[in-house]
Amino acid sequence: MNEHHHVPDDLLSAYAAGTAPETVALFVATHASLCPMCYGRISELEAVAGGLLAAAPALPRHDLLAGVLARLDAPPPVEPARHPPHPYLPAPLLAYTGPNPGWRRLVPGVETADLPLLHAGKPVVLTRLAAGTRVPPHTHRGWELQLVLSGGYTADDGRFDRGDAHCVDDGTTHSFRVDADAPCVSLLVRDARIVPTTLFGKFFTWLTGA
Amino acid sequence: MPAPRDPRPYAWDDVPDATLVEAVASMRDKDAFAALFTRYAGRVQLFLVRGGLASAAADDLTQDILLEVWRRAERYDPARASVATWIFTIARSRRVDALRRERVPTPEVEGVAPTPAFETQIDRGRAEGALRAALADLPPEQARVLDCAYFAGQSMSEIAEEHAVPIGTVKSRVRIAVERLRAALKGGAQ
Repeated sequence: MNEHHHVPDDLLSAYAAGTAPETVALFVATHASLCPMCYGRISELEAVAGGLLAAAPALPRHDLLAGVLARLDAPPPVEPARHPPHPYLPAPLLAYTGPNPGWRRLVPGVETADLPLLHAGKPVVLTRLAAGTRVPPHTHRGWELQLVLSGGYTADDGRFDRGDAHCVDDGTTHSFRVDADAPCVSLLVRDARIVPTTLFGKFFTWLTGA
Repeated sequence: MPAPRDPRPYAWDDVPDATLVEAVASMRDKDAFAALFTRYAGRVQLFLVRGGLASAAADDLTQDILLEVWRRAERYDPARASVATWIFTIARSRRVDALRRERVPTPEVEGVAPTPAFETQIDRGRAEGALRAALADLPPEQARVLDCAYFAGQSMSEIAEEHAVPIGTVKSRVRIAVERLRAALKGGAQ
């Protein structure tokens, strides 16, 4: 059996506290949809925040009540329809991509799809690499988060299957190879502050259309 | 014409949060909602102001958030979270939207349901009590940074700057405080 690759604690904390940017929050929520352990951890951190809310030293606001009571019987806003379950896109991600991601072929064996519901230019993209694709050694500038959604790959730093979060720090050099029997779909999120200088950085910039 | 409501013979003060939410969910009970409002509106408003909203904007958003509590009451799952935690997650999304025009996607575990955090209402009550006690027991320097991180929504570097302590110290204080509270939650639930 393979070990599972989880989201680092500081990202779970930033998610729970509401300080993570939307791209990172989406990454965390999608991973946690596939990882009961991180889901449980987020629930605990949220419980801590809930405890702080319950204990917050605040006076009742009776002055605000009448305005709300007057609106209780108004029809609620229409919520966006939920997509039926998808074979490999977990619910939080599916809400952004829709059931049919708009795949574009960049080079043979490499396709990407945007997340139309996120503002353009955000450093996030879905990637689909053909079975057997080799990604040669490359160095990361800034952190990068990759979440496997279907298929899998073997990298210098381990084996990555559906649900595994591959979190790469600034300065890491690595390579990986997609399994020979299936394409690999991933969610890729990159540090927004980094101006790419390396070849792969440029490659990623190209992927995200930034 | 709305039907006249029954006068309630008992004091709302002693009714647990979860019972109030259940009354809202199943009977659309406006008195139960008003009791919840009394408990949480001021706290939610403080949560918004601490996060950086102006007071008037926070008042408006507090009303929207409590209206959302009314509308989403059926979706509250007492096995997953306390009412305070549930309201926190609603307020967090609305605060992120107000401050940054961003959404907070929420995880949905597929297939096997996640292990419930609380088996029974008694467990939840105990865990909440244990958490409250552990919060009150935190050393002041830990309580302060925890509050800045999880209530005010400040980043570790902002907290370090504001309190003039190294960022590593802030991180370790928050971590130690969270671990103490987690232990209290787990211990209290048993």
